[in-house]
Amino acid sequence: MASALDRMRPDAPPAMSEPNVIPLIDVTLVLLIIFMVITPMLQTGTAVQLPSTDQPEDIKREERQIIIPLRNDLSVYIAEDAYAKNLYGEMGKFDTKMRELFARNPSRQILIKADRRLKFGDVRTLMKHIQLSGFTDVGLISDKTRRG
Amino acid sequence: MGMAVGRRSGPMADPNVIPFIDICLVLLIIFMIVVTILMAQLGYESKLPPQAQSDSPPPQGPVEQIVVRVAEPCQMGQFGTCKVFINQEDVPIMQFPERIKRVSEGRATQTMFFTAEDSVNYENAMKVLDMMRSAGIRNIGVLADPVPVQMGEGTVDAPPVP
Repeated sequence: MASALDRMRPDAPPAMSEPNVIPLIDVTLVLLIIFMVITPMLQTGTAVQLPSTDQPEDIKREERQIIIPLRNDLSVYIAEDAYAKNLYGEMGKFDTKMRELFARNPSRQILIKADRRLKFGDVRTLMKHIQLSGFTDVGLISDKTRRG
Repeated sequence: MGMAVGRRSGPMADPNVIPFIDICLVLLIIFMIVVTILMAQLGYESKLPPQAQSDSPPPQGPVEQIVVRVAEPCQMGQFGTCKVFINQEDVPIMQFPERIKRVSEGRATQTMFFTAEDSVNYENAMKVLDMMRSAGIRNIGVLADPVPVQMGEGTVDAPPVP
């Protein structure tokens, strides 16, 4: 390694102009892979078309949250798993699961992720099921209206 | 990477990696932005009133309960046709933000109740909820029981504040 002093000597070979970029590439690639792996994992709950409102609050992601997606075809999920094909049909499996979750930890927060095309009555029916299971802390997920 | 091994090799033949780095960095930035956008989880936090006992009437609190009710017709994409009631009073949707702000004055910590008729579009109901939240109401309880059918005259029983 040529020290700074060596390079100042007139007979020293010309300094290498290209920096060593190999470590930079290594770090960049590792970061890239990390982000690529994280991105699909961030999707919580089955995808639905969220309603858009002007000023939704930021609901911090927490371990105690349970996401309950309600899709336009009235199928009910808990996170990624389907628990009922129709909200007005066989809800036994969903109710059992919710009671079980409540028995394990009653302080969890339920986040309803309902499709914007539904009627309020559908969401209300789902809330009724949640209320009957015992949970009281319920949030409604929405999206911020994008302008322009 | 082509590294000079030993002393036999001539001039170092490093491939030009600069475009590669450029692409990697751009991809990295794209992913970083996507992750930040996806991390944000927006919505409204509310409390469900504890399950009301049907046989006993809800005890009257010392303060008047405020119930906001969205009434039909309020179909998808027709927010202007929604009717909003604050207790029994019909409030035009355009004046609602102002009215609810006035009603909520001095009741900052009081829980207000929100409900909508079953046929009201969910997104429109959420927009009314958004107006309530924007008016500074922190504690919103969403009623999970169906709204009594009587239009205008009916009393919406507000359950006790949890």
